[in-house]
Amino acid sequence: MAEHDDCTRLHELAPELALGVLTGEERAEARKHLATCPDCREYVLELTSVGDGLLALVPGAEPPVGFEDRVLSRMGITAGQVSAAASGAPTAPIPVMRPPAAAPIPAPQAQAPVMDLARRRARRGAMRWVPLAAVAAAIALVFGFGGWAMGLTSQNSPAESAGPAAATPLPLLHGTLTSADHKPMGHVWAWAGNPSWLYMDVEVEQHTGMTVTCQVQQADGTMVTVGTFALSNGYGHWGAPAPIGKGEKARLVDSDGTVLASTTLVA
Amino acid sequence: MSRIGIPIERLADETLLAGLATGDAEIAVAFVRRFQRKVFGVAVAVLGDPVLAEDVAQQTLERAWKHAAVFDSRRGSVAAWLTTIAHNLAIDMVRARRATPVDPAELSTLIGVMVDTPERQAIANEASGELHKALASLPHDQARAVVMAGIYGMTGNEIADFEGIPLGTAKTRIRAAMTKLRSSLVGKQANDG
Repeated sequence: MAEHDDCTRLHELAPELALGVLTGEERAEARKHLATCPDCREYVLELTSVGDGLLALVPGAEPPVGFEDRVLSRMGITAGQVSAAASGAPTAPIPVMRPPAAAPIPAPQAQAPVMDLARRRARRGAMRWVPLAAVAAAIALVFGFGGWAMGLTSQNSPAESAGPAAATPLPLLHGTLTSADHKPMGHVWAWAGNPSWLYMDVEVEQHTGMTVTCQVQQADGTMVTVGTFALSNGYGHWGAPAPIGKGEKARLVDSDGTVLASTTLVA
Repeated sequence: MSRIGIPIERLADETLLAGLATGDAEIAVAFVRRFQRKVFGVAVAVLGDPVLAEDVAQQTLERAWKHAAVFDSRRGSVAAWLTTIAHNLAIDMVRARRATPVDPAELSTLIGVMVDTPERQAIANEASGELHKALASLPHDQARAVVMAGIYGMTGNEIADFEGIPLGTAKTRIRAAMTKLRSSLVGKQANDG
């Protein structure tokens, strides 16, 4: 069959493929063609956006009584913590409880990769700088609402936790990652408490799909490698326990050891 | 360090999700409260059973909590991510249980709500508004077909059986509807671009 005929056939199948309801041989036929035809992939991506849009039109509905408590319980959050959160009282210092180690979400339906691509394409322009602002705000939020509790070393329940006067607050350290030619490439936040940690987001337009390493230069000049993480399409955010203090430097290096960006952490 | 007074209700969706990865209880509460209606709405629309829908909605929010750290906002909004998870889980549950086909009355009600006027239904953004208008302008048989496929996850064969029409007709209705809906979005992007 000529390529044009294949594309015509794909256009017949694409709507059902994009909605995840194409089955059997037709599904296999469509996926085989998509593997070799960028134009048809683009077409399917657009149709997938339509599917997403339809879902967005479905109205919300009030879940049954007790739903919120049951969900939070599955997250390991107790009724006491919920009450404390509702009253604005401090919650436990981070990292007190984290979700299980993150792993890629298994796609319940095999068309998930196509849907991911569709979303990426449809929204990348508008969302470009959202991650940086979002992470920055998230960190600010964590410290804004629970930051004063960070000095606490105990892991008591909120009801048992002491008030703000119980510990001397430690400042949140921050630095803007900049390249050698002074271009901003991300942000670093760190806390020098116990345990100390570091969190960063990186947006590196010209380095896509790469692995980068975070290093910290301590006050005595010692360079400590904190960890390595991957950038996806030039973007990544990542955090880990880190030996960190005020005035120390954090930097990002590529797999060749070239310093991509660095910053000095200040309060 | 002084407290940074950002009302949690005003935080962006992506911010809440990013904060969820820290394990902070207050953020988790805010996150669940913000999105529970949306994910439950999708689940109950697909399943038509509040008990099953609650299970799906719980799984959805739990997955978001577990995987918050790997969410990439360039792939879409948090709401879209959550509704897709909820939708996929609900469709899987329908297929696994081979549940009773869609209630015709529920289908009509859902379509009615989806094409309701923007004044009565909050439209999340301009694209949703365009899609809403395009859906409302579809011939009724095409709107039914695309909602059955896109929301209920019904295959062409299932739609044909449900509507009492040939398979080819069911496929044609889905295709015609999707083509028109796509044009509304592509046309919007072209106008914006």
